[in-house]
Amino acid sequence: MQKKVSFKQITLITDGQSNMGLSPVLAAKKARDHNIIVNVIGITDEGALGLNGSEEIRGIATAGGGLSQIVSIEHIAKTVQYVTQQSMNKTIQQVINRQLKQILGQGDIYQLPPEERIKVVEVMDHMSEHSHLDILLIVDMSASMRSKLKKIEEALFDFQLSVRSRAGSNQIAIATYPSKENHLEIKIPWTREYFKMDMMISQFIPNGNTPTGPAIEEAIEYFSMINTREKNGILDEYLI
Amino acid sequence: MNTLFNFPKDLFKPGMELSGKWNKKSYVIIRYIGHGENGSVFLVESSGKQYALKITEHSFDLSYEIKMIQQLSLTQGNHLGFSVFDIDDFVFGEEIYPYYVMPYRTGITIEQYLTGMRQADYLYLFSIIVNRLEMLHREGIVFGDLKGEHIIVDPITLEISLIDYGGLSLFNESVRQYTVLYDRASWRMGDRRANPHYDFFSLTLIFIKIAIGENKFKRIFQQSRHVKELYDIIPNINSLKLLAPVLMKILTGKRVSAKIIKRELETIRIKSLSDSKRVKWKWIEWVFSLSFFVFIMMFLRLLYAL
Repeated sequence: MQKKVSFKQITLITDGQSNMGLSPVLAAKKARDHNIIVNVIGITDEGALGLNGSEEIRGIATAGGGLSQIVSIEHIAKTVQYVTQQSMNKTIQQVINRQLKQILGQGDIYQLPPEERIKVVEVMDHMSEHSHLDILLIVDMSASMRSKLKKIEEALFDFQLSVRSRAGSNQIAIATYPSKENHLEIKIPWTREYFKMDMMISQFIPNGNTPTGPAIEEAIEYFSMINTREKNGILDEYLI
Repeated sequence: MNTLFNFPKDLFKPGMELSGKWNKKSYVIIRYIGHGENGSVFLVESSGKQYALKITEHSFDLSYEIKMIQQLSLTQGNHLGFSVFDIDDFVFGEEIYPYYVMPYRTGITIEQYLTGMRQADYLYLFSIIVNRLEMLHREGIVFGDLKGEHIIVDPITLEISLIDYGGLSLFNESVRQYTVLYDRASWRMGDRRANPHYDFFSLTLIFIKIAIGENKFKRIFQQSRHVKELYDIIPNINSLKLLAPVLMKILTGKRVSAKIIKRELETIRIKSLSDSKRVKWKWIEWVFSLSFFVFIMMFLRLLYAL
């Protein structure tokens, strides 16, 4: 049980519905097939996020094996951290439940007496806290997001403080979409270092399209660019 | 986040009796006390005794917190006030609500207690909370979510209780739960990795908030988040006069240990005592000089009279 666990996550921050290219739900499914979990945070105020938008957000997270939350811009900072954490916990819980099923013939930690459950949770918590995390944050930069970018920058900065405080190692990258050439534009490449957040607003390009699906597809590509040689040097890992 | 709690409406109302799936103990709900980030707390009664019962939908979070309390109650006994009376699940329809039961702490919050108090009271309370935190830190655990509402003072015995254990975190792991207003990382003075300074930083902000008032404190947080602004006003706040050197050191110093803080607090305490003694002596000197002066005057008067 003390093996090191590694997570790959995409967390998408958007306030609208996709309107270009491959369906983001299919793209999220594809990510899941590549062992990448996709979480989505929907921002409610004044965006185009209607009933369909909410449905889509839930759909992407379900297909991507992650979590979704729809919040107002004020709560964005804590939500990014919360979703990441809970999503890791959920993944570990699924694995543990599968193992419990094999051992005990019952597949849920709730079926264990509380005292036993606490011991299992202790192991799960340790796995999560000490795991390696590669996380790519993708921010929707369509026109309606303009007024929210300052808050989002703050939230991303805050998020990296939380991620860096974990006992496990981690790499963060930040990307936006749409961009001029590709769908996805990498603003901060994979890094283990602290970074400043002042690059987004200044480079804002208004664009009517929201190609969420293609952006996720390109994100999957981007995960393959992580320097695996270095990673294997540090971690004795297996993926879940 | 309110979305965390989806208890059926009015399920846990006063008078309702709840019993556990495993241990079969039953509790009558007296009233709702409040909620932490990961659960709601009720005042309950069982066999004529009152307890606090924390219940949630998310077993993962609560189990971790219970584990920490159990660990602390093993090593520290009741010394720190950490103990768990019962751990169980409440089953309602298809749903399972894990809960745990702990002693109920009475008293008022530190904010209520300190309002209108003097410098010496601020110093005294700060010192005993530092001691309390240090005992916790000796176990390699940080309190995490320290805030005024979580520090309960018994106004008669002055006993301090820390409540809401959702933030308890092992050293060098990330702090499990925090409140942005008292969070070192939100003030951009470090990260959220659990170490003693994390708690001392929150404690310092709690004292500053009580002294300068909630509105002013929140305004600084929302507008600038600069510790420097706090740094500049501390020396001018009367109730913080004695504590000022320590508070300023904690605000800026990343590695201030309990040992250094306690040493400084002791220096301040001794100095403040001798200061008040000196004031007393001055008063006696004045009386003495005055009486001497009166005596001379009387003497002269007598001389003239002769």
